[in-house]
Amino acid sequence: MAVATVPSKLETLERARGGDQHAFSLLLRRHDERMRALAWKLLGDRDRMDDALQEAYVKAWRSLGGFREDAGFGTWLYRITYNACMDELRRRKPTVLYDWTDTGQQPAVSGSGPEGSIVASDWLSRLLATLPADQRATIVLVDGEGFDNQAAADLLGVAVGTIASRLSRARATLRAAHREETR
Amino acid sequence: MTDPWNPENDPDEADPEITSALRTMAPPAHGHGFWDTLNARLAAEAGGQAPPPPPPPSAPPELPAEPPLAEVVPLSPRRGPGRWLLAAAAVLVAVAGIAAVTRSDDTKLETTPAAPVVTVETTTPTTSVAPPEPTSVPSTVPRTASTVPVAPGTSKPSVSPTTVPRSTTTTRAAGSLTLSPAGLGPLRLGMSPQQAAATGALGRYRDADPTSPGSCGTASPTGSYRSGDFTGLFVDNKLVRFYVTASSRLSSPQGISVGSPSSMIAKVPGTRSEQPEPYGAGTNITVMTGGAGYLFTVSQDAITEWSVGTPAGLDLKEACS
Repeated sequence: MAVATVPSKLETLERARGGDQHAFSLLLRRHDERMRALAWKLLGDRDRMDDALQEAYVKAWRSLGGFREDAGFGTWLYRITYNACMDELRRRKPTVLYDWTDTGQQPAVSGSGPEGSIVASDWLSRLLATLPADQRATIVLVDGEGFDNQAAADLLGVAVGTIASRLSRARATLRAAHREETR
Repeated sequence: MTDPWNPENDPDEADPEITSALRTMAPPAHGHGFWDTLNARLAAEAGGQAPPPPPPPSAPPELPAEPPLAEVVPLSPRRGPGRWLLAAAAVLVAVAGIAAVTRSDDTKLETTPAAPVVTVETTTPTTSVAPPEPTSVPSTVPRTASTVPVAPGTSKPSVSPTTVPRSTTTTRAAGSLTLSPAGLGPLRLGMSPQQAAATGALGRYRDADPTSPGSCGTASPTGSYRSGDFTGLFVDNKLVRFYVTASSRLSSPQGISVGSPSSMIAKVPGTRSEQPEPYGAGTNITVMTGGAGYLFTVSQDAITEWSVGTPAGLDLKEACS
């Protein structure tokens, strides 16, 4: 029942802020699918997704005292997850991240820098892998997760105009690459 | 050339096919043990200022932190002559043991005169391999008496059997361990996981292949450090950061530790910059000196956590697994 759900969420949050680990785990599980979706789209590899989410959740637990309710727990956690994923992307050097041996295609060694380290497990992942990390994050949030530009700007800590320009470039790149793929 | 009037060429318009694929790009489930590992890590963090609980199963330190003396070898609750008789008997046994060692190996004796007595007097076994740590940071890893030829954390053979454990306890006083860009005890920024492990101060590196390009992993302290004292972060096979999130035992050369007033940061020499803590937990203050520096997180005029690392190491917001 909706009336009971809202207090329950608030209560869970309060208990988590009071140091109740079980309550915090409940919160995480409520939001985990969204966080997994974000991490998966940004990283494209389950192990790396799990690695980033482990760090994000531990960081959230440490920082829960600083969480301001006006931000919304989900949004707050989303931002932590985003940063964890970007850290993960930043750290990694170019590597072959996808086993192409059973596909009949050529091995794909990703490019240098964060933009190159996504796993090319399907055509979309391959296209996303061609984008710089900031553009990838932007298009994932706006076109993939349904954020409007302002919400994405708030989440990523950049100006709305920056979101618009990143989005424009990302869409153009993906569109061109997709055409190339389907030609 | 792009036709600006062709909607298909307008980059500001989302491609329906791409958008649809993005939205239906379902993530896989977590790997096996994800929640168990996470819960163990959260439990370890939950201690805050208190001693952390055991680390997660996926990343145990190689050796446990030293428990309180009473937990190592519980003494009889009754205090009576029997206790002293037992001690005296043990001393006799120890002397006999030393004599035996003298007969068989004089060199070894020079470095091991106190070991048996240490165990008896203090109930704290010590290690058979003294890690290359400074004498101010003795090993605290409990071992069995039979494997204890050297006093913890020191190779000096002249340490009194009765003073070794007291010394150990004394050196564990809060804030007595200094962490700076120069390192911590035997640990230095830039060390490989293998080098760091060889010091005896850091344990298992939590990456399947620490030598792989782009590898990232953390390691928990061992030896004279407790598991909650700090975390070592390795990136690309190098130690790039020490995290101190809870323990107030570690301090900077200026005496700064978790809980210190933020005004003390002014004592740290170097180039200072400030940024909001990304998750609303206060302010991050970075003080860089050359190729390394400090990152202090300040909330309500107190330092809630701090790190020492290279610029790249300090730049990471979430560490890694």
